[in-house]
Parts: sequence; C-alpha cells; structure tokens
Amino acid sequence: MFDLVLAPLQPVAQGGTTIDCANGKTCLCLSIFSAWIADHAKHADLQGIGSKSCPKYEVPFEELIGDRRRIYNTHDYMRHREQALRHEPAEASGMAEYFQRLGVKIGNNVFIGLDQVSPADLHKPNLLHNIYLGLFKDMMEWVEEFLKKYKQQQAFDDAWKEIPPYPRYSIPKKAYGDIIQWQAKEIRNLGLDISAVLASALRNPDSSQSHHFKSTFKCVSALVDFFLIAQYPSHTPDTLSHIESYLQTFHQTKDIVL
Amino acid sequence: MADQCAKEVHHRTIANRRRLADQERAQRSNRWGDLIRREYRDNFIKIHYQTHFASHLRRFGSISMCSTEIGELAHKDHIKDGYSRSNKNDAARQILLQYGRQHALGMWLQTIEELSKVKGVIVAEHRGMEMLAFSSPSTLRRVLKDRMKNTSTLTELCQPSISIIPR
Repeated sequence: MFDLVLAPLQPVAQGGTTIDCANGKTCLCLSIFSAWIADHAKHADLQGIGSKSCPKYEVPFEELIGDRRRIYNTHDYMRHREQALRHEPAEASGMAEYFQRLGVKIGNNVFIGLDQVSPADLHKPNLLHNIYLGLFKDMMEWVEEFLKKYKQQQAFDDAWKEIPPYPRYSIPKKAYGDIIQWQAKEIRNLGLDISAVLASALRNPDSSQSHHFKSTFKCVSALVDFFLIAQYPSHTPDTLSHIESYLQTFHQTKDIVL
Repeated sequence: MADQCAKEVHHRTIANRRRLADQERAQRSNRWGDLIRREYRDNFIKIHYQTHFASHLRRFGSISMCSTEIGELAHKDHIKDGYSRSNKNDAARQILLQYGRQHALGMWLQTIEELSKVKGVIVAEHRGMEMLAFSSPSTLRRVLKDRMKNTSTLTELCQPSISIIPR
C-alpha cells in the first residue's frame, strides 16, 4: 500500500514539482498530503487503530459519547511509536494497557512514514458513511422500533405515501417497508422528509404517549437539522452555534429512542 | 381443612401467575430497550464523529467535498473496468496506471477544448476536434472509456495529432 500509492508522494512533498498553472505560468508546487476520505473501517486499518477507536483524538472507548465539551489530545502516532520502542521493560504491561485503552495498534499506521504529514489530521468527516449510511440509517432503525412499540407504523406508512412532489426532491417510489436496500440518494431524500412524516405519524398521541412522542420528534429533528445545516456551502458564527445547539439537543433527548 | 388448603394453593397459583405475567411484560418492554442500546453501543464511534463536524467546519469550511460517494461509484469504473483490462498480473499497479492515464488524457482534452475558445489560438487537425465540438463532459468520459463509435482505443483517439499554434 505504502510503496504503491503513498511513496510517490514523498519526493513531491520534499522537493516539489513543477505544474502548469491556470494563469499560464509554471509553478513549483509542494503538494502536502492532507486528507484521506474513507469510511471508518478503512481508517481503522490504515491508521492502525481498533474498530471502536477515534483515529483523530485520544478518546478512551467509554468516553466516546461522553462529555462533548471535554478537549482531548490529538493522536501523535510518531510519539506513540517512540514510546512503544523506548519504554523500560518493567513498563511493558502498563504501556500495552495504555495503548489498548486508546485503541492504538503500534506499528500498523501506514501514513507514519510520510514527511510533513500528521496522520491524525488526515481523517475528515465523511458525508456518505458518517451521515447517510451511518447515523441516518441507524436513526431509521431506532424510529422503526419506536413506531412498532407504540403501534404507529401504519400512520407512518400512510404519511410516507402522501408526500407531494417538490422541486429538487424526488418522491419515494416504494412504500417505506418495501425498501430493502437504501441508496445514498434515497437516504438524502429521507433526511429532507423524515421530520414531516414523523410529525404526521405522531400527531395523535394519547395522554400517556404525549411526552414520548414529543421527545422522539425533538430528537430526530435535532439530528436531521444538525446534518442539514452542516452541509451548508458556507457558514457564519450563527450557523456554527446552531450546529452546537442541535447536537446538544440530540444528546439531551436521545435516551427516549435509545 | 382440606378446602382451606385447596383455596390457599389456588390463591398462591393465581398470585404466582400474576407475578409471572408481570415479569414477562416487563421483560418484553425491556427487550426493545436492550436491543436498541446494544445497537447503540456498537455505534459509539458514529455518535462521536458528530463532534468532529463543528471543528472541521471552523477550520476548513464546507464539508460538501468530504464524501466518499464519488469513490464508491468509482468502484465500477476504475476498479472493475481497470481489472478487466489488466492482464491480471500485478493488477493493482495496472489499475492505478490506467486510471492515471485516463485522468491525464481527460485533463488534456479539456485544456484543448478551453484553448480552442481563446482568441489568437488555432487548433490544428480536426478529427478529434469534430468530436470535441459536440462534446460535453459525459461525451469525453465515454470517449476515454472506449464507449464511442469510431474510437475503439485510447491510442486511436490520440492519433489525430492535435497541435496548438499560437497565432
């Protein structure tokens, strides 16, 4: 992997290469490898971490959904490697436990040999796998279970069928239950309509259900709003504060569906 | 005495049955919660990744380019087509080379197309340009993937030696 794909980048990062520029001039470009967009499984393999560890921050497993305001150190894979190589024999077990807690497998990071590259910073959010095929899909499983528990599936299906067409939105061709495999486009559309469909399905709660329905709707709406606003092409301090507040609302209300 | 005993046993069984039914009901309602929590526990990392979004947006701006959608779609075009064209020996290198070549030619064709619009530049040799005159990005892609009539290979496409002459 390193020899085939990454090694040719080394001379370019070190000495640069001449590239014809759009303005007609020739420029000396030092291309620094700065992002690797992939799903979590690939990141886990390439960065040499456990499947339930963060490739960017040193977050122990039990704190992965803990206090979001806490600031964690960014992984320094070079330092990890030096620590693993130069520790005292007496510290071996403590060191192994430390790395296990962080979910780091020493010697398995593919990017560590690259000059001027911080392997931890290569990880970037991934719209398809983190959002659409990740949390949106999970969210729908939670919602399905919730509807089943409160016997509102029929109301949800009826509302799903009645969605009217709208510019830049393609109405679902199948009933909700008939969709076996979700495509990215379908899930993207789902993000646009799920709040309205759920609001319609949960519109007639009895007195015992009222609180649960409201909380579920709030949780799903917060999650959907978070992702929709995160995809804005440009951001202001206001939109960024909205992102924080939607995430906070999701974490405050998630226990109702989880 | 026997009647009293029978009544007591009867009451005990009813109470037991009620207790069992209550337990079963509680178990049933908890099963749903357990199932979801188990799923949720497996998805800790997905929940955690949400916290990366705000800091990424602050540092780098829009995340619209951070999607593997194009890469997933490329499985067919790059990997499957590339593999079928390779001689199956050291296929990974051949797939990468083929993609690199296609990409370079794509850039080359786009450059020629843009230059042909600039005043003061004449693009000589017209066989390729006739095709380019009606071209859209999808046409170019079809040419590069040998899916156009009259061009079966990339070499054939390159044969009309297109040259750019400054006027």
